[in-house]
Amino acid sequence: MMLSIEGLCVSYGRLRVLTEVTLHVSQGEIVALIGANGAGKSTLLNAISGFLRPESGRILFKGTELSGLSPYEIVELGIAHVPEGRRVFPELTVMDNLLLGAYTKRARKRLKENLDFVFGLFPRLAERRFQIAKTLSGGEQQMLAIGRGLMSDPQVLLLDEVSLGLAPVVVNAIYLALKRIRERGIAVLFVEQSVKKSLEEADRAYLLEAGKVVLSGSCEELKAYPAIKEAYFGVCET
Amino acid sequence: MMEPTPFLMGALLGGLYALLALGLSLVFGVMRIINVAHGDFVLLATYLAYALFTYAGVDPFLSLCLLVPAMFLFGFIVQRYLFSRFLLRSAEAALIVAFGMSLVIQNLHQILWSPMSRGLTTPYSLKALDLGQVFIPFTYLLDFLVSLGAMVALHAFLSKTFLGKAIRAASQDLKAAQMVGINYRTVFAVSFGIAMVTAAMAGICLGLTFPFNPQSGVSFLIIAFGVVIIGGLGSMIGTFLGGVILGVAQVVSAELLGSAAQMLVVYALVLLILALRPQGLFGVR
Repeated sequence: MMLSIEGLCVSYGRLRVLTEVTLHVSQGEIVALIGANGAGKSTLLNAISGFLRPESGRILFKGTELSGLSPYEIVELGIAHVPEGRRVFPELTVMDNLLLGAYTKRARKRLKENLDFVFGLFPRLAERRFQIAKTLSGGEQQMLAIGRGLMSDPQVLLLDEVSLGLAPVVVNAIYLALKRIRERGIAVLFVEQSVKKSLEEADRAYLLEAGKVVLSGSCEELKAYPAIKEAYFGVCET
Repeated sequence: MMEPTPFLMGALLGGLYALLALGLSLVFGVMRIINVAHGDFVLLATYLAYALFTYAGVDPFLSLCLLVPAMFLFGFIVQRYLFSRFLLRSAEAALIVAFGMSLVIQNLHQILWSPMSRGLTTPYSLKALDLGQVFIPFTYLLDFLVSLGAMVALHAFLSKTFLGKAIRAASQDLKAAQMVGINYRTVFAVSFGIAMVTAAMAGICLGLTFPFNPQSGVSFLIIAFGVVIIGGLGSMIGTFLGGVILGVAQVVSAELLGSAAQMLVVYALVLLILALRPQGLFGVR
């Protein structure tokens, strides 16, 4: 098991945001986290990458417990987090953004190899390598954010809202890239606003509601689930 | 027609003012700390150079070999073990810590060196270049060259090296920087260390140029704030030009209105820019 989360509880002050969340992601798997705004999807990703301290429960990466580690140590172990809103370094060039992606010692050893992979995945980034990141289009910035995450040589890639505000053609290109990322044996856990899109692109999905996992299973199973059909696909079974 | 000398002297002095402001700007840009002790840290280097010069006969510029690593280490430790604890609480907490350090250092200077005014008077202090039309004190030229060299070196470090890029990344987006594996505590400490290296260089140049006493740190801080306000935060070229504008304004107004009016003109300029263009002439934000 690449990543497994057992009974995770997270609170902001006195407000409980995640309750007893249990999930797992295996090597080369693409797993979606779905649910309404405020269900706790981004909170879960922030807890995995070390920005939030869990109240209880465990987060295990290849059997190693992550609690108490700082974000930079978690990157070094092999979990990359591509944040919501892309958050590329705005004043740096595309190339410098990518080089900084390989900041950890482990990643620096495979810098050349990963850079070739990223440029192969998103040739647009290679064309614009000397451009300042803030001058890129939204889609290109998203590619850069994913590329920067891949430069850290991860085994688990966490993606938060990759398609937010992007044109459908760009969104498709990004999801196509996810398939190639999976072929490298990288496990992907992504958060997506569109449930329909998530269930098309992932292997499995977890449905979060008010901080709890209320449904999980393969996307085929979830698509057939009446409540999901009704709520997200707009079809009512008679 | 005015003589060209005051303009040139002001510009040369402005280079030094820019170096003085550089550390303040770097610490604010990366850590978001308003380091009100910056002037006192600069003065600390001045007094250390004074001690080495007076008691051991070490030339001030030669003493940089010792002061640069010492001040780097000092800055590293102050950030890593002092400011980092308070930054987690709030920016105000760090400001108060800086203010406390300023008071401690000022009083330490009083005790160690007495309130008397001192100077770094070297054999070359009184030499000057006489180019017919213009007349330049040798120390002003040295100040400018040292400052320019330090700024070019810092610019190269920030834009070319991996660590320098990491510092810029952390100043642009701290969370994203942690997401690529940057240990921000180390990067912060290194940044503070570098700011103190620029403070050491500025301190020595200021000591060679002006007399100083335990309260001089406050004047240094005010000049540094003035440069940052005129030039704007975030760009090295802005800091440099801000320094030059302030230097020229000071020296030229002293020439025209008498030395009593020089700081009045400088402060009026600073207030005017704050009112009309609060992000500074060359600031991006």
